[in-house]
Parts: sequence; C-alpha cells; structure tokens
Amino acid sequence: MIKNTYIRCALVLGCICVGSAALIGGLHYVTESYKATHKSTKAPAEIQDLKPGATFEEVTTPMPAPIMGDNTKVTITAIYALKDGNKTTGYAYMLNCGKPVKTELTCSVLFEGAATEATKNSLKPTAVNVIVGGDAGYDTNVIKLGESIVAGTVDINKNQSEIVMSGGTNSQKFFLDGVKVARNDYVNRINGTSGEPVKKTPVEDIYGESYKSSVENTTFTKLEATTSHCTYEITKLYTVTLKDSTTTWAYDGIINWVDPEGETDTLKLTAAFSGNKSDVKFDGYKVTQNVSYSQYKSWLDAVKTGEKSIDGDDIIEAGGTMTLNAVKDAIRGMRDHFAANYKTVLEGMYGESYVSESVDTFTTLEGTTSHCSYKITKRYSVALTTGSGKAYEATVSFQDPEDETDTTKFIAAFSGDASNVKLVGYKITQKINFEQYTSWIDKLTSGEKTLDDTDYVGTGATMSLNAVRDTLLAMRADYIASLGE
Amino acid sequence: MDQKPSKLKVFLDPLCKANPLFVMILGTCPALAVTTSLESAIGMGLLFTFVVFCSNLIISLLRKVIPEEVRTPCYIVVIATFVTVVKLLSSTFLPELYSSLGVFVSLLVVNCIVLGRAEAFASQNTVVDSMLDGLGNGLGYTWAIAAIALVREVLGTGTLTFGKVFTFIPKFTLPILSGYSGSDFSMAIPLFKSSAGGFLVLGIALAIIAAVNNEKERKAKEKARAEKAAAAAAAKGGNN
Repeated sequence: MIKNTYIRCALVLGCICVGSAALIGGLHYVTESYKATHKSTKAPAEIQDLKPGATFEEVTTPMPAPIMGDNTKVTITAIYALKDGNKTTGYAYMLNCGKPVKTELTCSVLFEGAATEATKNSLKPTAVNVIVGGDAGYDTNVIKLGESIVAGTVDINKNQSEIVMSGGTNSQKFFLDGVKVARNDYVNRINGTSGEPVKKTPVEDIYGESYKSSVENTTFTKLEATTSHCTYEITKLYTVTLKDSTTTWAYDGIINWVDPEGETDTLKLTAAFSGNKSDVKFDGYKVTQNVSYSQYKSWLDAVKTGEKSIDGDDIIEAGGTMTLNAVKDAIRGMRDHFAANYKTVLEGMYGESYVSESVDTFTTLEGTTSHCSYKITKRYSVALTTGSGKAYEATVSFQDPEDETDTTKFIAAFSGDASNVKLVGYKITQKINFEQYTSWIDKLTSGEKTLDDTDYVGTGATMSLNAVRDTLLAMRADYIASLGE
Repeated sequence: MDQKPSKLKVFLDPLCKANPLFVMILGTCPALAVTTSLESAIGMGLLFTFVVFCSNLIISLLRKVIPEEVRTPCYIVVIATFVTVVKLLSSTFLPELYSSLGVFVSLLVVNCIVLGRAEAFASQNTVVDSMLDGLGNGLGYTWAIAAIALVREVLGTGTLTFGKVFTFIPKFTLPILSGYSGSDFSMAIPLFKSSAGGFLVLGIALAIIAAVNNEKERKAKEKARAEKAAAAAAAKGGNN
C-alpha cells in the first residue's frame, strides 16, 4: 500500500513536470521564433518615442568607434534610419554619454532633413529622449536642456558653460557632447545615403586626416585691399584645431581682377596658415570658385611644399600671369594678417616678452608616482626678451574615485632661474571631468601658491590635482636641469 | 449544514468583501514595488490574474488525481509553469512591461494569494468555481494595486503617463498636478514615488477600509440587537 502511494505520488508529480516542460518548451520555441522574426524590424521604445507612428529601421553596419567629446567619450550604441517609404529622411541615434555621476547617461536623438558640413551648425535634433537611471530629479535639467534644444531656444554651438543650467552641469555637458557626436555622424550619413558625396568644408579638405574642428572667428572684421593687380576681400577667419591639438588659422578670400578681355574675373578660395609670427607656414588652399586660368595653382602648391616663397617674384609660364599675381596679393594679405595677429599657445602664455619658440630634441620623460603615471612628450625652447623659457607637453593618467582611468593632456610653460622657477602659464588640451584643479594651477601662475606648498588639497578633484602636481614637479626638475645645458 | 456559495458570490467576493490586498492583506510586497506607475500596476495585475486563473483551473482539474502527500510540490510546479509562461509572453510581446516589473514577475511563483487559492479553494471545488475564484481574485488584486498606483503616480509625479509600458497605445501624459511640458509648475511630492510613499498610501487605504468595515459591523450588530429586542418585545406582548 505504502509502495503504491509512493509510486502514485512520483507518477503524478512526474507527469505534471513533463506536461509543464512540454508547455514551456513549446512556448519558448514560439517566442524565440517571434523575436527572431521581429527583432530587426521593430525599433525600441526609446527610438519609437522620438516620432510615434514613424517607421524606423535599424542600421546594421558596424557602429562608429566611441568618440571623445569636449567632456566625455560618447558611444553610439544603435542607429535607426527614419523611413518614408523606401527613402531615408533622417536618423535616430541611441547614445551612451558615459557617467556624469555614478549612473550612466543614455539618450536617443533624432535628426531629420538635408544637411551638409556647411549647414551643420544650424542643424538641431527634432526630438530628444533622455533615459537616465539614478535618483529622482537627477535628470531634470538634462531633459529641460533637450527640450530647449529641440525648441530652438538653446544653440548647442555656443560655449557649453553658457548653455548649461545650474544643477547637474556635468550631466548636461555630457549630454551636449552626445548630441554633437550624433550630429556629426548624421551629416556624413545622410549625405552618404542620398548618394551625394560627403561635403567637407574647405578647411577640412586642406587638413585632411589631421583636421579635428574649426570655428569661425565672429570678431573678425572683413579686410579689403586694392593692389596693382586686383582687389581682394578677406571675408572670414576660422580658428582650426588639428588632432595633435595644434591651432591654425584659415581665411576665406574673394579676389577680383580685370582679365585681358576687359571682363572682371572672380576667384574664391580658402587658405590656411600655421606657425608663428616669425615663421608663417602656408598649409594649403581650397579653391571654391575657379577661373579658366589655373596655372596659379602650381605656384600655390610650390609655396605649400616650401619650394617657393610667398614673397618670391616668380615668373610664371605663359598664361595666367594676371590670375597668379592677383592670387599672390591675396595670399600675402592673408599671411600678413596672420603674422600680425596670430599668437601661438606659448606666445599667449609668455605675453609681451615672447620672441620665438622652437621644438627641442627631447627624449620622452616617463614616470609613475603614487598618484599617477605621466609622459612628458615634447619640450619647447622659448626665446624671451627677458631671457628664455621652456614649455612642456604632457599626458597624465590616474585612477578616479570610480576606479576608472582618466587621462588629461596639458602644456605648461616655465621661466626664471633655478632658485625661482615660475609657472608662466598652462593650457589643457584634453579635458577631464574634474576641473577644480585648474583653480589651483591659476594660483601657481599668479604666484599665490608654489609647487612646494603642501596645503594644496582642496575639496574635490584631489586625485587629479595630485596627478597634475606630480607632472609639474617632473617638468620643473627637467627645466632646472636644462638651465645648465 | 453549510450552504454552497453561488457562482456570482464566488466571483464577486474577492473583488470587494474578501479583496486579497485590502481585506486579506496578502500580496503586499509586489503591491508596494510595482505601484509607482498605473500602467505597471495594471500590467502586473493582468499577469497575476492570468497565473491565478490558469493555476486554479489546472489544480481543480487535477484535484482528484494529485495525492495528498505531494500536493504542495504539484501546486508549485503548476504555478511555476504559468509564471514561466507569463514571463515568456510578456518578455516577447510586452518587453517594456516585463522590464518595468523586474523580479516581481518571477516572484509570483511564491505569491501567497496564488498558492493560497490553490490550496484553499481550487483543490476542493469544481473547475468552474475555481476559474471564477481565480478570475475574481485576480481582478480584485488588479484594481487594488491599480488604485494605489493611481494615487502614487499622481501625487509622486504630478502626471499620469500612458503608452510607456503598453507600447501598443500612443504615448501621452496627463498633467494633473503639474503644468504641460516645458512648464516648471508642479505640485508633485516625490516621496510618493519612493517605497515610503507606497507604505503610506497602502496604510491609509487599509485604515479607511478597516474603518468602513468596522462601521458596517457596528451597524449590523446594532440592527441585530434592535431586531432581537423587537422580537423579545413582541414575544412579551404576545404572552401578555
């Protein structure tokens, strides 16, 4: 009897288990098939919310590599094409903008319509969806900022500190980085999709792979001049940042002259210059409106490679002499403006006493301290009216409070003698999230504090401050050693 | 001899008089956890209804087959099966609902209401009665947590949002205690979005229901006493 009961219990339980397993197995097969069928066609809610009812199709090409913005590394995690029939009319992006606090900031943005590099700055997202974790209220200002950008009341091209609201500033800055990264990708992608070549700005064309960004100098006043060969206008000035953090200038010019047939010819070009006032380099040009005589281009190419001088009175081969002379005059006018107004980073730091600078033959200095590891990669010798100075470029890596490795890059300039070394100035070329240490460096440059002071630890950013201080100490040691060379 | 309750009573009692949450005070854990938004609460309630309805049905069907000695493991296996079914279906067809409910879908396996109805009702009653009991308990629990969620979402966010979890309906937000999008005006009290707010709302609801029930009970007693007195007076008059 007891045996029978055991058998019955096992049998019933076994049957129920088998029935359950069969039901679950069957359903699992059905749901997996459904997911596989619908996975590529259905956009997630974060994307669909951007334009309810619209058709989004996931772009399956590999995602772009994470891109470093002004404040954070932005990862595009997914891209969806906005479809109108077979036509792509926009792209929606899912972005991970890193961790402004302890939780990640993710958002989705939608861009629509035509855009080129030239019109990029006027392009704004048509919808934004901020998705963040963390405590309630943490994302309030990011959401508000997103709404303002979409409404057009906030211009993301402005300096970030002018845009962000008080409260959650890091989150807002990280978000702005994300929107800009998506916008850059959108401009390239929408042009590629429409079958048109990707339109680059003339400055981008000139610098090619080394180009990072450029911004028009809005304080520049148009220059006009009339020479014996032409009249020219220098209409715009751009400050260009290259990937190696070098800053150069580029000019838009319009040149007019009367050709042998008595007609006025117009040539438009963009020309870029770098270097310093005593050694101006012609980096290249891009003609945006040509004329029938193109011989002047060989002269420009020769100047670019250094074969010919901007100031040389070269006799040109037959034809195009008038054009060449007109172009020469305009290029010289741009060069003169550059020489008179451009200040190198070091010139800005040393001010009136700056005379010239040169890059030293220098072996990279590497070190590891209890706070960081650093690499001092470049050293400049700077001639001053009051003597000389040295400037250094360095990369510093350290562990932040969230146990992630942060890397900052900066240039620091020194002067003075061994007993009184002065930090003349600095420039951060790769920012990190912790900016409080800059107020400490400002005190060093103003003489309010010295590198040897030990009361430097303020509230916040102690780790970054210590890391930068260790690097500055290594620079100073090298500077003192170099004084004896 | 006990009279068997009518089918209507079997269905209606859990909706009101024997509500699993407000009267029996069962299933309070998910009631606090998923009631931050009305949509999540309704979703949870519907999934719960499905599980309790199906498990009651199967357990009632098998009640004469399942040996007494292994009834609890059998019930658990049946309930776990339907919870797994619910998980698979919701993660496939309503992924936003599934992710918003999190672990509380899986925890339905050990939900005291589901197990309680299986043990106390389905194992002793007919299939139809068990189905009605399951449906009544499911819907009773659904409206109870939906009511709590309604209060918490309105007070906690100042708005009511739809379409976020049930993505098949267009997303829209009703600004009840706040201004429209872009306006800073809001009378929301974030406390109600937190666990403390959940306890507060549930506590107040239970207090109100207890007060109402006490009042009803008092009136019933008074009525019974009055009837008894009237009957006694009538009897006395008759004797005279």
